[in-house]
Amino acid sequence: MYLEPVSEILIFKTNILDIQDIEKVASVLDADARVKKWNVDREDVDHVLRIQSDCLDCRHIIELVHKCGYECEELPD
Amino acid sequence: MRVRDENKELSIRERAVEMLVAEGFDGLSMQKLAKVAGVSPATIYIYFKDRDDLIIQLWVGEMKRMMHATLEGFDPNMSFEEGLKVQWLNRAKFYIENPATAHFMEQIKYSPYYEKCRGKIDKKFLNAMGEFVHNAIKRKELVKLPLEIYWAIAFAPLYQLVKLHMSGRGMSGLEKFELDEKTMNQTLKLVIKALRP
Repeated sequence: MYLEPVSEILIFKTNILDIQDIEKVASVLDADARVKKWNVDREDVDHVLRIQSDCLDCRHIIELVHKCGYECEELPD
Repeated sequence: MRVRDENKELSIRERAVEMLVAEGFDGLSMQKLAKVAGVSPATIYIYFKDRDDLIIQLWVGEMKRMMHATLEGFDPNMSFEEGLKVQWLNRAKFYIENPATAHFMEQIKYSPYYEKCRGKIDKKFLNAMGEFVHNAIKRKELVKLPLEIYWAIAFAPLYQLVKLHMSGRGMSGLEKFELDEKTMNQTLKLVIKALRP
């Protein structure tokens, strides 16, 4: 089972589509120490961005991704 | 804070295996899975990183269940005959009671996922199997063979009978076939005989 000590997991719908898009977002997310882990599911229609962080909330992430020039909205439970 | 809910995770896993069996790898999407499992796509992503991670974690979970079932009442120090019998009964019972799992494990075996999955097999299981075999060789109850040949003789006959049982038909395709204990014991005897030094 995927059981790491769970920090908050934040899930977003984005338009991060290809490798170049991911690289652009990576430059921002990798640089932010508050982001513990992240990945984009490129096979999903919503191009889901998944973030693990102890202290960031959704607004922070949306702001970061917007700055890179991409859409980003929280996927509700 | 999102809270992990084991029932939700279990339901996601069960529906995902069913979906993979019914529709193949291309037929599984997080959106479709969310719908049939009665959760939101976001919920699935709490438990699984992405689609590939879901498929691999499914295999790890099903494999764990299979190994747990196989080892029930089994002890690596058992005589070869007794230990193999326990394993045969356990393995047959598990696959017959969990046809979707059986099908899913076969799908993985012949897919590119298998490379990523196989490294995640629990060493405890492999060690127990190895210990059992080595003990039997030491006691001169089992002939020393390359692992592949051993496995092919010790388990492939059982799995073939299980497959026939699950299809419900014998070799002719017409007659009914059921793997009962008598058939299993008859086959097991021949296997033990073949593997004796």
